[in-house]
Amino acid sequence: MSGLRVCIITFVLTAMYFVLTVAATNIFFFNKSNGSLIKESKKIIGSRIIGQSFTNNIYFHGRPSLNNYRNNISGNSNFPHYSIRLKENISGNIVKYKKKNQNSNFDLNIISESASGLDPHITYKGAIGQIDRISANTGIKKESLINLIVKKSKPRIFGIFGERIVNVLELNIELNKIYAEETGS
Amino acid sequence: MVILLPLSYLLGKFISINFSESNEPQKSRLQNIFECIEKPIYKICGINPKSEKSAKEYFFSLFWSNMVLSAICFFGLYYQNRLPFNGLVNHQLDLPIIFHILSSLITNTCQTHHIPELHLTPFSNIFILSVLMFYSSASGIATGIMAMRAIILGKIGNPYTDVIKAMTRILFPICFIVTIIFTALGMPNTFNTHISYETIENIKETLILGPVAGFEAIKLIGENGQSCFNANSAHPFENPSYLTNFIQIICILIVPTALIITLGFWLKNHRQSWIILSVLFSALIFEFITVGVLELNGNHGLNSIINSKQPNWVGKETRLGIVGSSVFEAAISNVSGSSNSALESFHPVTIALSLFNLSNQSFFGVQGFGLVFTINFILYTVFLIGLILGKTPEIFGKRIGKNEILLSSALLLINPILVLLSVVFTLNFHPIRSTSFYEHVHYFTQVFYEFASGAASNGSGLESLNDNTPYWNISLAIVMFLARYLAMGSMIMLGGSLAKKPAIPTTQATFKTDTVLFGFTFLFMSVITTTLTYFPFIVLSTLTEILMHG
Repeated sequence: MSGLRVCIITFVLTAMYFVLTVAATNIFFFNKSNGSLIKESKKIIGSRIIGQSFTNNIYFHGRPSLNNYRNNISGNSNFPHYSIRLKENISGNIVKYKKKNQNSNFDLNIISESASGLDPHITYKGAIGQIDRISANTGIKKESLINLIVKKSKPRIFGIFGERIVNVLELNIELNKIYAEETGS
Repeated sequence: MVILLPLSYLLGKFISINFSESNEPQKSRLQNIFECIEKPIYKICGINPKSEKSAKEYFFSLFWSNMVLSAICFFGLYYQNRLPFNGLVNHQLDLPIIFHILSSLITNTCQTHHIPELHLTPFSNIFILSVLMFYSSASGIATGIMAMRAIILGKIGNPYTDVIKAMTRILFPICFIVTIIFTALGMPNTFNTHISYETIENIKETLILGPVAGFEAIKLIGENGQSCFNANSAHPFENPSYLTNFIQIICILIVPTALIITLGFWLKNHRQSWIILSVLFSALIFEFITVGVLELNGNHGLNSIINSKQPNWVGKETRLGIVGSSVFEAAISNVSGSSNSALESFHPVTIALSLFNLSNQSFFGVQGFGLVFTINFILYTVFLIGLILGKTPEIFGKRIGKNEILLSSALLLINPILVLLSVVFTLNFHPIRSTSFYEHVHYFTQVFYEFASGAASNGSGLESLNDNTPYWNISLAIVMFLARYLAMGSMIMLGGSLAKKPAIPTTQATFKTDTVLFGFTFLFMSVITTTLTYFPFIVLSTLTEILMHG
């Protein structure tokens, strides 16, 4: 009988654990514990750390995604290392990339799927490769786009760990602002 | 590692004081606080914390309480659509998948065949799955600590006391701290189930939220690997930055490392635990480097398509980077089933290394059990050396007899028998239909990996296998169940049988287990034993893949 009671106690303790942690984190880190939401004129436009699908040519685009950045199923295609399907997938992505950007200034990052399908970041090089297209479509000068990417990119940790990365959503919000300024003035 | 070792040293010392079952008069203030919390729990459960049990009683109490908990959770999962707090999910689960979920969670395996955000309600996630995670992890720690305590201190103890102590003194406090750190670094932790919004391109989207940080903490500290999201630790909510990735690796390794340090405290011989730890860490670092170098060199099939040498970004997250993903993947193949990148996209050598770890189980290994597998390998090594040198085999001052060798060989043989038989069975009766030779070879790898990870209570998998079908769910549920409880039984009986033996003083003739020489012997022994058992299967799976394309 004590076994059953120990199980029930575990249920109670776990419920207490979740209530306590949620209470504590909501008091101290309200924004972060609610999904790091970004709001613009009181409307939620997304979470800072979740990738979104961008298809319009005036925006920076993220990495390819199996479910096109839908949140209800995260994940990737899981192609094995040597499989033909992986090669076909990558070749297809290269064709799509070249059609949009008319250059071959890319790294493997921007044409391959991420593990979650919700990757919010691209590499510095992947962002630089897209400025020709954005500049042609919006009329924003290339130099100011490069400045924007440099400003928004996060350096490597201690100069060696990780990659130089840029958040696509943050870049596009900034682009929107610049675009509004230029059309306004 | 610099951060990991001091932290696990402290935890190891803490465990050695709290679980020794000795009647010391002085207690620290921390112990008094914990006792105040535990006293009402013992009272409600009707447990006398001081009562000793026999090894057989210990095992059956633990086993039945596990079964009772699964039975309660079965009803919770079966009627999940009628329970409150449903979020976006509103359907019933099929019976095979419920059996698989229960079996994989209660055995601390946490293999994920279902899609969490699609199939499970937030209520099942929080109040059913995490309860199972806490309890299975605590049972694992209890088994490990009991076996170690019985061998060294000769005390068996009370299973419920151990489980409750493992929860109140190890799991809950650490998870609480880890949750706070994770949220500070950007993980969500809320009872909101979802938020709808419109992107700047006017696409309607729904964010799926939940107490992710709290869930993540027990997933890592308990070495479970069950996650709120299908992408596991790759999902940006579960692993928002490079820093959280490294904290997660530390979380995964902290309890197993601490348990080995506890061994040193109880033996009053720290050299012993440092020798074991240096063997395990050198194996781990070897894996880090191999995996990292292979991934930085990239996939040369793809490099020839893009005409430049690039690191293998396929199935890896940008913010975690190549090295972050590789180190994580090498660490989890030893212990838990979480994953921050697509294991399929890694080089087959990585998969071969993981398969080796899954079959070995003694390099850190799953919560609590890994420690016993390590002790078992030491026992086995000592026995073989004793045969070679003509000395009486002793482990930690206890003479090894026929009974111990029987149990030890049983522990070594449970996994190979289950895995190899089920692989052969599956290939015969559930073959893949494909014309390409590569797909057949890879199917072999997938089947082998799936059963190896199920039997080793690890839970990672090669996910392009379409595994949410009744065949896979039921067969793996059976394999996981048998592997876990047969191993648990032999571990506890091994502890019980060594507990009865009188300690003998060390003499000149004793073979010392705390020397560098023994470290090397131990390493070779475990590598050779595992390789000999699984070599044909590893050759047929990953090595064939490498030879076909290398």
